[in-house]
Amino acid sequence: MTAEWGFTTSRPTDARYGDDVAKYAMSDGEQGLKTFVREVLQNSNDARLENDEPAEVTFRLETLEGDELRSYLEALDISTWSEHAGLSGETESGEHIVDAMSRIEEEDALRILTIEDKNTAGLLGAETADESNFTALVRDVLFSSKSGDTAGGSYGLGKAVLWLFSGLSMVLFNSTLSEPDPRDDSPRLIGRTRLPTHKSADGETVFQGHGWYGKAEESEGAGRSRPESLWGEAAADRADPLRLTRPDSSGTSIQVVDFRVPTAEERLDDTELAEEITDLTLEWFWPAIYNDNLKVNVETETETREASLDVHPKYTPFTSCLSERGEAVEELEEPGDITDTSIDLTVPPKTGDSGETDGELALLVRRAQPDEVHKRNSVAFVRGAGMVVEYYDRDKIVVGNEDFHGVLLGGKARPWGTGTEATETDRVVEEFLTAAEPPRHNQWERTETLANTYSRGFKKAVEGIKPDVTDKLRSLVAPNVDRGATGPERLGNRFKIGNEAKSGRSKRESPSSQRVSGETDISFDETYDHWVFEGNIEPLSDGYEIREVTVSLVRMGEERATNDRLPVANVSSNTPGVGVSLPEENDVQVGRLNPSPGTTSVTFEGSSDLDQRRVETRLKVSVDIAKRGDE
Amino acid sequence: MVDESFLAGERELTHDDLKPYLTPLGISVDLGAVDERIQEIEADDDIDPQSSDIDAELAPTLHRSLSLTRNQAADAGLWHYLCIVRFPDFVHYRWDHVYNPEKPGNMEEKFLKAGADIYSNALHRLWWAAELTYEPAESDDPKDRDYERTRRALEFQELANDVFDRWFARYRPVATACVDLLCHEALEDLRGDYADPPSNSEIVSDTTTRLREELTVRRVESMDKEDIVDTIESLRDDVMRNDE
Repeated sequence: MTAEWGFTTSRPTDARYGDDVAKYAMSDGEQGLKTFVREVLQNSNDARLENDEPAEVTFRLETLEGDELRSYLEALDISTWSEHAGLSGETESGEHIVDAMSRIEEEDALRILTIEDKNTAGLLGAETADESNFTALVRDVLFSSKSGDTAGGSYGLGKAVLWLFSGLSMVLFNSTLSEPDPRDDSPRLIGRTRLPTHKSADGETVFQGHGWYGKAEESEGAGRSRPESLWGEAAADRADPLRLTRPDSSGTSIQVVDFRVPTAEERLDDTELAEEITDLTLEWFWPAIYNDNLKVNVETETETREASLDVHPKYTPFTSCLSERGEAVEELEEPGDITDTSIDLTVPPKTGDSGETDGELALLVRRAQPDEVHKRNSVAFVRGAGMVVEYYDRDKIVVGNEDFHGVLLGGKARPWGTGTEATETDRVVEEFLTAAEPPRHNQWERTETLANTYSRGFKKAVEGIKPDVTDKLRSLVAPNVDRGATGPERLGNRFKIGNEAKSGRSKRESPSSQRVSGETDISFDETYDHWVFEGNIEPLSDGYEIREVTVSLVRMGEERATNDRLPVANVSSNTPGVGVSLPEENDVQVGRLNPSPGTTSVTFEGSSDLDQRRVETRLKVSVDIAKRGDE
Repeated sequence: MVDESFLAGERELTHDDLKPYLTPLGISVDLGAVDERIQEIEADDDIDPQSSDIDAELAPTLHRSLSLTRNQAADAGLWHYLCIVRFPDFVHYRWDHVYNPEKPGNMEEKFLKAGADIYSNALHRLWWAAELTYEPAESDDPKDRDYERTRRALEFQELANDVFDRWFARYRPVATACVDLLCHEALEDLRGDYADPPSNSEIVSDTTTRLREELTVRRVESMDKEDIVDTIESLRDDVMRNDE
């Protein structure tokens, strides 16, 4: 049976595509290999079958030349594809594809990257299914059907990187299915290309740009057809020249044709690429590898590298947190010591439900050995998917701190290393953290999914994680500090920065005008990462009363004050009868005190919003006074 | 002597008028090239009077012609003489729009400020902008110097104002990094990487404000070039992401 390319037609009035929007959503300024490796491995990791075996992934880099290249291109029906690609040269991305074609012809060489996984589900589901592995990875744009609340991906954007890394915007799939859904004659082979919308040479037909490689078949609608998957023997015959032959295990082989790193200034050679893929695998997936859920090899034509934690021990400080969790101590006294503490996370109810869940995350901190410099003083954030979401850099969290490595385990990952199982609460946390990951899954933050799924309180919960980790770390790694019950608070007092002298407290006289006197004081509280201030005001002359006090926080510049203001988060007063409010002035929240008539002296105190920037900040107090008894 | 009628352009002051107050500096410069360049600028239909393009066009010639040490350039009298006697027409051509009889100080500083204030006197500011941003040549010949960065800075008035009118600009590594990272060309290259970046002027204004703030807790002279670039890039990234 022959296989061929077919392109979906559209009406001249339909939307035209210059390029694939999902590619842009994913790239977000970072099109380096990191995004690619993270997305690809996350796909395989999520598709792992539920047994004791790891998902095995092999990255295979090959460069085809001469006869080998010609028979590959012939099997790929390159002439049909080229005809369409040639017609898309008008747009920028189309132009790049045409350039890539000429380069391949000129150099008579083509690099392909095949990512073959084993012990994973395979491309299950009918061609027309609403929701399946097949439609999610091969067919649809911006849909996701990953199963389970632990899945790493939940936006359906990740796969877009596959096309982004193909110079020809072309990706082939060959899959051995783990169940007979929709058929029992694996393998299943199909290819997809995403070209810009283009017209046929005679200008009569508009092609939307999506092309399919497979068995030609008429689908619904006159004149519209798209090839569907090849199956069984036909697929296996075709897989051979396309270098996509499957091993004897369920899973999927994905081939990126004309593999390139879009942002690389120069084309890296295979060895450099293999090294980088291995490094990135370990950097982001050491938890899954450590737990034997994932095994990764990178093959070039001359060598095979295994992403093994034994061969590359850079991540031992992190894995030791898990392997030696049972021997945790109270205080980090010696290099290699590990502490096991927790961070509270209150998960709000989902919209329409009631009752919050009091969950917690485990924070494991290990004091570094002097030679363990890689990712020193950072905390790896991990949940059940086994991928590091983010390394939270906490270098020099306290002046002179002990060097450390930390792991924050959330959701189903929380009990790792204890021999116990995840609880129902952990599952609730897992689901919450998954919803808190943006499309690139690179941090826990306020996302639209969180806002759409959870009731009030989600913002506080997710944004409180980092400050809580910071507080915990401070109490663990600060030098020469009595780690008693009030640890963090004591530290806060010790390391306050004031404004005048940039260290220590500052006192300023006569804050408002010549008509009032008083004292103000502002200093930075390292425990809560905000400024705290206090003051008292009274009129200089008898017979006057205070009508209104406005407190604002002014950011200083190198030479003088800037127009920048830091929001006042709260303000209060011990003076009886004083009304307090937080109105906005020039779009920034200020503190406002309105004393009752006859008040001649006002005290106040308050704090700023969180201030990660910690630059010099001064307190500005404006006071309205009036003669006692005046209206 | 520099009174309202002078500032209004109604009266001239000549070398002879000022003779009793002039002191020889012991340096000799040929200002012919500056005269010529000013004539070309004034004749160029693409350069509007009172536009910042004038600055970008004149600064390289002025700096090449006035081979001064920074110490010599700090002598305010030199710049007062050049603006009041030698090039008053140019000062008016570039700055007449700021003249306001009720606020004579705005125009006065274009003739009279200088010294440690490097961004007020009409010519002194151009010389310093060039001094802080040009790329020296391997040869000693001023003709071989590259003033592309100076042009980029001065033709984007917001950038010139937000850099040269700040203390940090006096440290050349900061001035050059600011221009390289915040000029129109650099920002346009990055724009596509961000979802909803502010305008270029806002990016420049907010990034330099944050830099000024950052320098309340760090000493700029203790930062090396790489550190400076990293710091500005990171602040610019926050601004372009609209991160508070």
